[in-house]
Amino acid sequence: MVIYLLELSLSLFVLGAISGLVVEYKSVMRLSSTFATLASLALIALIVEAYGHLPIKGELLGTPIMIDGLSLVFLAIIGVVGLADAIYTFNYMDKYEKLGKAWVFALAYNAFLASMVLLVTTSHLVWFVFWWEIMTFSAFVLVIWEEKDSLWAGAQYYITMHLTSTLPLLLAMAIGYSVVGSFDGMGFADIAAHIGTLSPGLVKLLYASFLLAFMAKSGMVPLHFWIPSAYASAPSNISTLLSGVMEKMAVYGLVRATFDILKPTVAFGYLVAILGVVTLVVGTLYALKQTNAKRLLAYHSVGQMGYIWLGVAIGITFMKNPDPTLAFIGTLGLAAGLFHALNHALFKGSLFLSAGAVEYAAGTQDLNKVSGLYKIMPWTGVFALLASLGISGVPLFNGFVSKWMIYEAGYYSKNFWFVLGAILALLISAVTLASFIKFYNSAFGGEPNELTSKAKEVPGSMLIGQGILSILCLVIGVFPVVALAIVTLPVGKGVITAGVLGLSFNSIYFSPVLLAIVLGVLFIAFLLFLPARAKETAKPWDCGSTLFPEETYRLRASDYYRPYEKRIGAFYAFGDFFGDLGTEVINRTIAAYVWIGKYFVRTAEIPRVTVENVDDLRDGVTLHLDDALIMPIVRFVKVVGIISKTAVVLVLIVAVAVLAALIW
Amino acid sequence: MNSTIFLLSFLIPWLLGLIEFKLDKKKADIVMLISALSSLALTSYGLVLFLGNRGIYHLVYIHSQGLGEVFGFVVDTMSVLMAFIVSLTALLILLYAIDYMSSSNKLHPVTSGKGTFYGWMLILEGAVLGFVFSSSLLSFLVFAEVIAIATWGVIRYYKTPNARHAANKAFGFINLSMLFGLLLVVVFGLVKYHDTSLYALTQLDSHAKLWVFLGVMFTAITMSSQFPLYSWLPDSTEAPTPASAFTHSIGIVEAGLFMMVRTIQFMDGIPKTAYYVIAILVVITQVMSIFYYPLQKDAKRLLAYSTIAQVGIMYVALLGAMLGSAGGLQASVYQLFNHSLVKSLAFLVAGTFGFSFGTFDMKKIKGLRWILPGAAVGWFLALLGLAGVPPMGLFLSKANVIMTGTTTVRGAPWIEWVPILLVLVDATIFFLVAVLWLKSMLFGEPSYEKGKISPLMCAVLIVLMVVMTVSPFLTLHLTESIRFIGG
Repeated sequence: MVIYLLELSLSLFVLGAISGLVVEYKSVMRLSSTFATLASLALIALIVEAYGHLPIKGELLGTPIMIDGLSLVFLAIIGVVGLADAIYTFNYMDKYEKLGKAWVFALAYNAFLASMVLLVTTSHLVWFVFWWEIMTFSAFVLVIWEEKDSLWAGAQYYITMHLTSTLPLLLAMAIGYSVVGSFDGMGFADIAAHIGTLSPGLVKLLYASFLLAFMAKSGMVPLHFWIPSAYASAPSNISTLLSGVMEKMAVYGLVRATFDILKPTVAFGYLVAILGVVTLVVGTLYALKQTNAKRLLAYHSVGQMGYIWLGVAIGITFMKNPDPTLAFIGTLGLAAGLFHALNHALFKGSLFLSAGAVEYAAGTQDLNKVSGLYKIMPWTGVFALLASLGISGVPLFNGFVSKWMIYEAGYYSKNFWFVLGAILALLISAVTLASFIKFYNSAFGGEPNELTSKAKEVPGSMLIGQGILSILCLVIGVFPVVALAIVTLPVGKGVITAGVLGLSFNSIYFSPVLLAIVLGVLFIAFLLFLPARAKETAKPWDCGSTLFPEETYRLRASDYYRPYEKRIGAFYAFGDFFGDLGTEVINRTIAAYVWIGKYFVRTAEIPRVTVENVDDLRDGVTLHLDDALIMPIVRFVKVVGIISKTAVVLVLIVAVAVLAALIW
Repeated sequence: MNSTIFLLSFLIPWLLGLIEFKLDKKKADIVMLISALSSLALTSYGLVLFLGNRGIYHLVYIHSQGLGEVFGFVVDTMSVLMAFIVSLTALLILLYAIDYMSSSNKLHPVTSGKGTFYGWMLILEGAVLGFVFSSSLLSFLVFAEVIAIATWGVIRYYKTPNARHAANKAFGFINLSMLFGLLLVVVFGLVKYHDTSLYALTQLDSHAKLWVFLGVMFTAITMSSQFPLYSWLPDSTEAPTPASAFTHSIGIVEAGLFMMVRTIQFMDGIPKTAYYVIAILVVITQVMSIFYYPLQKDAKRLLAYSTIAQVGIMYVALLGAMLGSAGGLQASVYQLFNHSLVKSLAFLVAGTFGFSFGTFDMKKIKGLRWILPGAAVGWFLALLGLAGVPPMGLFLSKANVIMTGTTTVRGAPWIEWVPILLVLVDATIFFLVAVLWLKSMLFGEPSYEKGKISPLMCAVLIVLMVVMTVSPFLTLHLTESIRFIGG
């Protein structure tokens, strides 16, 4: 039944993919997103059906399939975010009608989602890499959709992926194959069973390859540089999938590879933890100074992935610890990491959809330019608020529960470094809150300005998409049991006891429902007992001047945290230094290539052009080694031919002359 | 196994090819279609028969006391599949040529002499079909010479000075390599053993094995345009595009590799010296093509260097086979099949640039997706496919090459890892170049008027795109039955 549902879901994706045959732009978009919606619903049905019957093994198109708890967590992410996103796409893509190519969208969009479904359900390394590549490829096609700024962002994304994720994975595949020796034997379990025969050097290489590949995809510092431009220039429904779902595939890969192919070791755990902590600090602090809505969200994605990696790292480090309390902490950390992955998919997905709605309505992503959107787009405003509270880790919202579990796991590890990591994570959570106060206030707070007053609320389908994700943020925040039932599957039952009222582990109890009731009572009390405030909003006093437009003295997004940004200026300078260093390395490499390339091209033939870049070299004639060796001989033979012909003629003339002389 | 089918599959193109030289226009088209279709029908019928009754069949047609096995067939999975792909690709390419070689071609309008082109192409097709079934070095030599002559004929077809030079160069280089390679080996075999059959290779002593192997190898790598004699292939892009497509995807270049595969298959216990010779040459070729990719602005020349590297990858796979892994043979042949389809698509798409804009200069082409949408999709898939992006088959075959390679060199000195790692580096550099060209060619302000290609050409491109996506999954398990035969 479960395999049948998987097949159903994939067939629906296939139908969506070929809906481009209808040709007419809007019909294609409607049709393909309808099929994607249905396919996502089938996935959700699959999760319900599979729950309690794990693991499920089977076969699909001749490839082995295994659905276990871990797959289910990520299938849930794909299903829920895919559902919301597909509904949102129903109308959103109308914005791009001028570009045509609807069939490409239908194909890439459905292939993107389907490849991720197959990625988390296959149990064979080669197919894992295959689907991974299809995912990367179709994401590239979708990222460059707009064909302007997105071209460079997309190329940067795809090239980075190829170098830092495809190559390591191919290497990992090759090492895996060398122990099993056959294509059919490349299942995760088979490789794990034979891994002992590898030399220690190759085992290290295997760890490094997997780590690098998954770092690149989830945007761990220093491989996060492609994220802001790619997420900002892609259409918003695609940014949602990139940030909400595709990044999570790297977490899936990390957990799968570490626990099911390799062995979780303490040293590896520390490495993952350090990457996680550095990333959550760097990503979030850089997010603080962004004023472009989608770039801000993209940097927060980087930061939030740091939290997830920290949680997973606690799992890797402690889960196999002989001390049961520490092993328990490891389990808690892993569950928290996976929980945060799910939560991040929900709130970040919703936020990108909201940013898309703002762009759809007001035509810009610039937070300095928009204002007062709450009055114009109340629904979008509410949904963005819920998601913002979720990501900031405010109690009663989903982000709080998973972050709190990560902090708890960090503290109770009683390991100095992990405690430090947890404290840093907690501090950075405050920065996230600050950043989202800015995000929300500058877009939705205040009065509508010239630009936004013309805007209107987005179509219903887009609101439904945002609504699904945002409301889930609140539901999970109040009833964490909904999500915990799934995210604790991979770590085993009984670790965290969760009920409708709250959750408990390790003699700690937390009840969001009780908190909600207390807060609700307090809120009502405030309403009843506090004096009512004046409802009128006063305009700023401008000393009677009429010349200054209101825009000039409005508090803009860039003004919010200016003093703080200055205070930590050294940090930004340090980060930018690495960015410049990377650019410099690339430029030097190209310069070195041009220097060598000059020896491959006859540059003297290019008139009045000094060779400065690769493009200049292309105008010359390419030189070849064998030409240089053989052509002189050919020319020599030709010359010899000419000389000998001349000689023969001369000899003949002389002979004739001599003969004539003799006869005469 | 009734091998008359395969005999006919190459005799018909030869016969009709000779007739073609006297024909032109519509009549030439019709005769060409009859020939190409009957070839494909025969090879596919043969494939179906073979799949129902698999095995390795050895048939000797001409055998003499003094010359041993002069002419015979080896019918096995490899040759049957290869013949099928040769005739399929040839048919598609020739269908495309019907409209390409016409007066509406902006770069090279053709008004007469179509028959000559078809004639050379059919002889080329027939020779390759005969080549893949050959069971002796002598008949390899004969068919290779016919391939070389026909290649010369198609390259110089436009009769420009460049085309003549390129044709002479190709012909000269290949014959040079035969003179010092295959021909010497054949003469040696005939004089000393009175036999050049593949089945006799395994009985040679190890000293003779080394020299015979090196001789065959020298010819094979020149036919495949590997270092040291490689530059005739980029120059040969002066040929009409359909001819280039055939030469690069399943013509002389692949024939060279095929001969190498056969030799390794039949000659067991090849001395390790031969391994190092081939490894060094392949490494030099790979490094060279890495440097050449970014320097190209001519679409066809870029593809030519990619052919050199892709065939180099097939040789890397053969390195594994020389160390005794049948997986290496399989990976090599699998890579050959996948490459041939993607490469013919790439060339045929490049042909549409010349056809509708009159240039192959990639710098001049912008906004392709607005002015020639079909070609834009094809170019996108072909370039990324060559770089090894799935779902195009080269991803699986490159992965296969790397995987089987790693198995054989595990625990070997690091130097043996170099060719395998270079496969990855090569794919990466080509990928970079491909993505950057796609970015500048496909999008932006169009640099030409909206181009037009005929429905037939478009149909061929679509069929190729579909076939190239599906075939890797069909041939994956078929190639797994390729094994060593000799010994």
